[in-house]
Amino acid sequence: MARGLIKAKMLPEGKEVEFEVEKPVKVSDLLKMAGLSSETAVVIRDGTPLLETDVVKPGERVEIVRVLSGGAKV
Amino acid sequence: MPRCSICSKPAIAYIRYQRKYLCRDHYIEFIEDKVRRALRKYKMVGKGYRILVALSGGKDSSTLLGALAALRSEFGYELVAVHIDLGIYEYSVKSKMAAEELAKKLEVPLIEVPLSEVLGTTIPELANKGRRPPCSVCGMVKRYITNAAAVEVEADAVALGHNADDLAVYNLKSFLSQDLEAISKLGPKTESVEEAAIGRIRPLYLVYEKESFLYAYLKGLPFLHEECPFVDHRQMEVKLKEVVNSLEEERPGMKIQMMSKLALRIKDYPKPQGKIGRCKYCGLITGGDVCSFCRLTKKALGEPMGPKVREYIRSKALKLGLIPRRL
Repeated sequence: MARGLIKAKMLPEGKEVEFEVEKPVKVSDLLKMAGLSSETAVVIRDGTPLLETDVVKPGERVEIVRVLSGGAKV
Repeated sequence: MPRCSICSKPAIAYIRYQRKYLCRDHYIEFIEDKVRRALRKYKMVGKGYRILVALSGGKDSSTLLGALAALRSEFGYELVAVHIDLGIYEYSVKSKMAAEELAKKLEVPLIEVPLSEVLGTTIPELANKGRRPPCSVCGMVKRYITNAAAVEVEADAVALGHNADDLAVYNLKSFLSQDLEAISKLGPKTESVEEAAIGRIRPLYLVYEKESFLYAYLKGLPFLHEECPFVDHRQMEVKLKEVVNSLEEERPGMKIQMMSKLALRIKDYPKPQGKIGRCKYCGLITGGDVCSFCRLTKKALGEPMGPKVREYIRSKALKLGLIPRRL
């Protein structure tokens, strides 16, 4: 498959980001490209959370959710 | 495509520390089972208990209420929720909406305490007038009002949405400063002090932060996924969370092990020294003559507001038919 863009909405900020990739990438690699850890972020495609080993293709749209707490709790 | 290790449907999550794939339904069951095991193992609840759930509107309190509601009939407890409208601009408006929607969906009575109505002020103003950092004022106000609500509705326990990541971070932070008394408060539950403080339980003790998010998301529970505008990213907690999670990546299950072991050793940590007394204004728990809430409100607003808060909650609870409590 030719190189292309993966479009991602970064949540909770809501910022739209594009990742230029040579070929389909694993979710774990996409998270690395976004500077996030798979322990604290989730990639969602069409409302379904993806596994770290799932693959996202150029041209696809995903949401990358940084899991966070609202504020101080203890 | 990886399949659920239980039913072979397409998997939506991989639990690294158990090396198993789960589909949506079995994932929800997995989290509810974690909560069930924590409730049993740490003897957090009993039949006929009234549990007051502190509802912020965020993912953890949403997961907390969702899982507790799912296990309601199995354990035979009753749920009541409390939400404090902190008056932190748009963030509080959205939090309130999420809390209201959630309580309605799960059919749990909700006591709402808007600070602007009860105190005539908000957290940012109170912090300003009291000359204290907003996060410290906010934490204290939330602890006070949640406990006051629990006392007024005669709850047997207050349920808090602290997840394993939060607690692991607080544990490390307290350890680094050798504040061992603070660690003694990080167990799965604390005991009540008659009519002055209601014991707190942490049903999400073994649930990871990401698991908490996925549970609320997959179950379609309303929650606000935003950061409080006062969150300071330079805080030690933020850095420690990164450290804890990079360790977890290398050693899956590290956070659960830390929390399970902490629960086993919690009694060995020294408890804070000093007498436990009652506030001369509001009658609730304090280490001195006046509780922190009455002291701050007296300084910032000219009047100790504890009694007014208790009166406000009492009238709300009466309207909701929660008191007098029928046992």
